[in-house]
Amino acid sequence: MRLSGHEINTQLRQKLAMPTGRHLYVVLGTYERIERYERAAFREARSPEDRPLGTALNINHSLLERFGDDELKWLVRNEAGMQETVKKQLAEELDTLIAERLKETSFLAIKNLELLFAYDMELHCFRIRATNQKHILVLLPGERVADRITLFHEAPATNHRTLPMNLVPENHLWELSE
Amino acid sequence: MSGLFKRQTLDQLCDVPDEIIDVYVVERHIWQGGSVDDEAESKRKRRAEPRTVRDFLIDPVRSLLNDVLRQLAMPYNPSDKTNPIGQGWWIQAEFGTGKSHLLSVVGALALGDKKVWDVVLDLETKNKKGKRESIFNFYENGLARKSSGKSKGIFVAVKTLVGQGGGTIGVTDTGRKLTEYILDAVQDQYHAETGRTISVYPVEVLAGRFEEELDLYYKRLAKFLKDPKYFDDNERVEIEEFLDNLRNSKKPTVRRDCGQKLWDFYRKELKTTPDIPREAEAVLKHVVETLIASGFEGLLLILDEVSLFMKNRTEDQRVEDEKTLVVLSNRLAKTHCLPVWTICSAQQARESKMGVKNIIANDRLRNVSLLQNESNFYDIVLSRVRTLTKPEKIDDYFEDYRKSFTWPDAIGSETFRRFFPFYKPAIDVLRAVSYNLTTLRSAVHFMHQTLKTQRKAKSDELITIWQMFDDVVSYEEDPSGTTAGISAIRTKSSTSGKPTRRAGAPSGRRPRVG
Repeated sequence: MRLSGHEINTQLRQKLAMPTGRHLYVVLGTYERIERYERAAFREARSPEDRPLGTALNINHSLLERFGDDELKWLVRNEAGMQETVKKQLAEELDTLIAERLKETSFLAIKNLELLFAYDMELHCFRIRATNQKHILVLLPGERVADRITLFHEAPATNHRTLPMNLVPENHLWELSE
Repeated sequence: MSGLFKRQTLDQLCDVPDEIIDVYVVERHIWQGGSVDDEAESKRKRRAEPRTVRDFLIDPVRSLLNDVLRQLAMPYNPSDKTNPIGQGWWIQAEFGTGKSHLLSVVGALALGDKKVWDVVLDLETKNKKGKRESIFNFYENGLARKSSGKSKGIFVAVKTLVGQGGGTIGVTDTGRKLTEYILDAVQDQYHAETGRTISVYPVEVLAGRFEEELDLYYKRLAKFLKDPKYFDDNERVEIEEFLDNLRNSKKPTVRRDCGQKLWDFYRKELKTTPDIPREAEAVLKHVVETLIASGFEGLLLILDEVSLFMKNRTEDQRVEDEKTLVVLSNRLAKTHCLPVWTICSAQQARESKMGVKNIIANDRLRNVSLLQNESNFYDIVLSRVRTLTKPEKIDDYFEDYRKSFTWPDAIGSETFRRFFPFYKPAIDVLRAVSYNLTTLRSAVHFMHQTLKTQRKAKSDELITIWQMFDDVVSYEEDPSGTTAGISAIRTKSSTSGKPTRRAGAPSGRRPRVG
């Protein structure tokens, strides 16, 4: 569904009032539109209780911040030679990061997920965690073309990714129109 | 009217849980939850989540539980190939009917945690189930023994398959095989439970046995690992560092990464292929045998949302996935007589693409349809939303209502008690309206919310459809994986406000007494 930032806020507010089910939402757009939405409209978004929704969490930064210096050096040194290990370690930290944040709040907006796609990491931890009154909004650069959602569509085709089917249902997925 | 004849209020007659877990996730509701550290501790100590079992209604799925637990509890004799204890099940039901809850319960029970089995005993005793009828029987006569002493119990590995894949270029899935997801699930769980690694992938097996050949190939391997023909600058590694990683790392994936380099060494440098089977059957058989050798009683594999996962697979992937399921449920369980139990949940019946080799069969995945009996729906929703604390006081309501309405006499006091404090046709309307939401989950929510409100208001009347209806018309939710159209009802009437009361339905007005 193509919507303006404020229309997405309205949709989001309605969804946040839903007490049952799965609560994973995605906002798609160009990098510029996503950035503008976050800076302008999302800042004005309110929960059903009329409280601000806070700021979006930068996953690239937050994930890397969780590693100590030595650990990070090890990851950097081995990222080419031990891909599975590095990927696994990032995945575990990501799950812990999301779990910890959702302990503190019932709504979490996340952005800058490039690291996850660079390492071809699984995204289902968002789906697993966004249940039972815990909501996750993902800001993702991408566009819908027919049934497929192409991510990083502004980049050269070799860098395109697709959003796994069934990760997010249609009525939880909005595309920025401006 | 004298206070003596006043009906007790709903808060005096019903207990209501503060909140209801409405989405069960097998990864999170089998082992006892809490913080990330608590979850890790629960896996280490094989502590099951008592609430998962406490909130579950056994009766509607008793025959399935009997079937599954009987197989799990049976003693395993490796030398007896005539009586296989392994089995597969394909559990099919609409979304929101409690498949994941059921899978979580089976997983929790299979852990053999006495505390959780005490919850079962309590539930079965309350339901007046005799010793032979009660599923506790399977714990006493099998699972307890399998989970104590030297035995490490049944190894439970789980995976929710929807949403898998990071989204690689041009495809909607990473193209990984179902076998690989299973191997990952086993490896993760093994590491979480024992703190040690288990070699499940062929490259890991190679890494494990390479020590025997190290002297023979040391120099050539050292050269290979530094060869710019095979490795980029940042991939090259000294052999001592490589061997240190291989021998000392506690991370399961380090062994896999090292094993992959060794595999490449054999193929590219030695121009041979390691003599390690890579077919799904051999790989999975090796996993089960390794688990048994390390003290476990077998492997219970729980795969949630399999049909949705398969729906988006290519034809080749789907055939491969089906083969994996046949390997687990038939080849390993029935032909090799290994203690492997595979439970798959699905929203749809599986139409096999394998021609005559159908994956749904008694000696493969046994088909089970949930919530086929309409009566089960009522039992499940009612048991989830309330516990009657003074059942004997419900008769006061029955006597009062029958004086004002004819329907109580028509349904009889037993049915009146069964549905208390709800009115059965009101639940039917709710069910009809919310049918295209999630069959059970949404109804549970509406009834729970309304009952909570009425308890708070100290109501002494039956709950009416109107009290639930406002929530219903504004409700929408995300089912496990479908389009928006079927998951939303947004038809709230702006003119009439509330629907017209059906003739004969309780008005919410207190019947006059005396």
